[in-house]
Amino acid sequence: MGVFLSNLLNGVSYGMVLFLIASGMSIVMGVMGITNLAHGAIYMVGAYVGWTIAIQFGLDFWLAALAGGIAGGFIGLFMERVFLRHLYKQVNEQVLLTYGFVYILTNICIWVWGGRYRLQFTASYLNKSIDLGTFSFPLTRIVITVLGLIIAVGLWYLQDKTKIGAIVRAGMDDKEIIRGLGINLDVVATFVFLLASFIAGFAGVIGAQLLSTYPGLGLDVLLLALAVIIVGGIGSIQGSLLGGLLIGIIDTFGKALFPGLAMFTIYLAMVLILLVKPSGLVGRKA
Amino acid sequence: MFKKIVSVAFTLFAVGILVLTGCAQQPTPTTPTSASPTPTEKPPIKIGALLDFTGPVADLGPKFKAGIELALEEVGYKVAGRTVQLIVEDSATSVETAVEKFKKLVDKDNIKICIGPLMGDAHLALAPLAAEKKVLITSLINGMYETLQYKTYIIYPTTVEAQTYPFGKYAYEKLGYKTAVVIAADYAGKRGYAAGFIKGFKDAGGEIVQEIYAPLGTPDYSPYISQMKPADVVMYAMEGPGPVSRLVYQYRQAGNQGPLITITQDGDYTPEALAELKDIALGIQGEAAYTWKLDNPENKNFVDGIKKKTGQVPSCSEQNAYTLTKVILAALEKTGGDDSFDKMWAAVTSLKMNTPAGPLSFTPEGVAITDMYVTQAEKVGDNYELSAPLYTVKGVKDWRLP
Repeated sequence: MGVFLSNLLNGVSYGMVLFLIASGMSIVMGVMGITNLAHGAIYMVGAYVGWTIAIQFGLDFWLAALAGGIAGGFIGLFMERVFLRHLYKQVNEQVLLTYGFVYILTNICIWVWGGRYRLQFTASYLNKSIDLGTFSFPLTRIVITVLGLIIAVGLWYLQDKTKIGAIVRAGMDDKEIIRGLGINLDVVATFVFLLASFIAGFAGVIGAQLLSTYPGLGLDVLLLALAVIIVGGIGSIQGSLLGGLLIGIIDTFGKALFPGLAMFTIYLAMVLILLVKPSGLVGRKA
Repeated sequence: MFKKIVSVAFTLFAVGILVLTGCAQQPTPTTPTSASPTPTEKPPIKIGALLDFTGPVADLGPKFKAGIELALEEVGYKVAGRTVQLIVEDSATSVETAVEKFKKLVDKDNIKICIGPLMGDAHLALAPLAAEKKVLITSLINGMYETLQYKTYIIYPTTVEAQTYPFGKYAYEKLGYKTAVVIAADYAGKRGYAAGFIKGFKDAGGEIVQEIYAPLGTPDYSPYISQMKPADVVMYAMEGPGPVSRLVYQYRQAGNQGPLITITQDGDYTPEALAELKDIALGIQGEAAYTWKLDNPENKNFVDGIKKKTGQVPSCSEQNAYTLTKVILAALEKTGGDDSFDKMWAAVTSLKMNTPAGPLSFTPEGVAITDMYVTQAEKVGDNYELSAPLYTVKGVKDWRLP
């Protein structure tokens, strides 16, 4: 029972990191029709910036998380304003451009911080375990889970209960009508991209409590994010959350029960879910 | 019109940044790092090196490079009256990239001697290729017994299994552990290390309760940690300093206080890794082929050299690359600068020398015979460092060799 519970909790907390990574990318894909493959790299830069603030300068962990988010938002703003807004609906060009940015950002990280793996880090007061009977559970994983839920609820509220959320959702379905109503969709689109990139950078620092920080993170995380989006459905917060949790739990249990298949578990999960629901769990049919 | 100007200006600015970034990129170049060649009739002797500057073991690439360069600097990049030209390529911790870069070094740069790559699975892929092209190729941190049939590899310090076999016996006989759980990275190299430890531990009378193999680059070891069965000790063998730090950190974070032991501690406990792990690293004994606190004249000279060059004390990565380069240079002196395979092979396998890691000789099959040490991390003042040997096994030789 202890093993089952510990795996479940580990799976949930890992799934929450996946959700945080994927949610922004999914929204951007759904709202703006932009495939941003550099989303994982933005996560990575956020993690490195957070490391610099928290470990090199020894400042507060939450300040580091905020700094990571700001760095992420900055990169996102730059990418969107200078490059991506010229590539509306040109998916091939978007893919090439953003993939190129992955390499640029990765090499900037190697140049500034070196190729070495950085150890997981967190606030000193969070660096403890909670005793749950037969096993101990690290506090950081609980923090990740709670934060993920707060952000999920916040994003869902923004999406479903606010005017800007209504504009975003309407824009996903029919841009022309929205423009016809006199709403400046460009500003909304930029805001969404900025928010998504901020969350990616912020997630980078939150996730760094669990995962190491290293230059390959941009691509590794991208793969995970894509798996979550495919499973959860494009453009949906609920989908990203469900997808993230499902993949996190399946991956964790898969590794625990069938370590020989460890390389496949995420993709096995993807295949199984897509067989049942091809547009993803909460996907909008194109 | 104005919008157009702004767009163009922005684009030029962005392109400018990209170009600057590209230029400032960490180089993994094919820049020959030789001294300017003096005009002689004979062309420079080329030595190729396949080192990993990206991927899970990216920390080690620069260390190997520093070791090779120090050995070459000590002889002024000259051997047997000829200049030495070093050509370094990034094998990116990938078998495909290693093969591709090896082909480039051999076919385009015409090297006959190659140092590295590190990873065991790359050795298995390159051995038949190196044998076919008649290139002398060396391991960096231990090598694979399966490559011996090709008679092309110089394996240093010894094969992966032979390196850890004495440590398996030590864990049972000297540390008193009767049962063990083994967790290792799932690729040929670390599986071999684990196999050596397991055989040694079992031959001494111990029982291996469980073997767990995690894929390369696993971000979250918690599923593996949670499934570990109870045992006297957990032996871990992950692919590099980064994954090692991650596993140990996650293991302790999950509340596990039990003893840990490891192998290739000399490679994984780099000064940077120790500075990060701090107290978590203490009390874990490990197998090592080298520690910078070894007391011999070659090591004193070597440690000084590396301190001056990198500002850090050396781990086994710098030492292995340094010693392998010295082996190659000594062999080239013996052959009078002839880098053809047959001459080099005969020269290398007949060498006997003292190295910073201790005495060195070779079997006719090209496997080195070296000493194995047991070390641990210790706190000296405010610094976390690798210790001097707690235990030594002299002249480790693979039991499968005649």
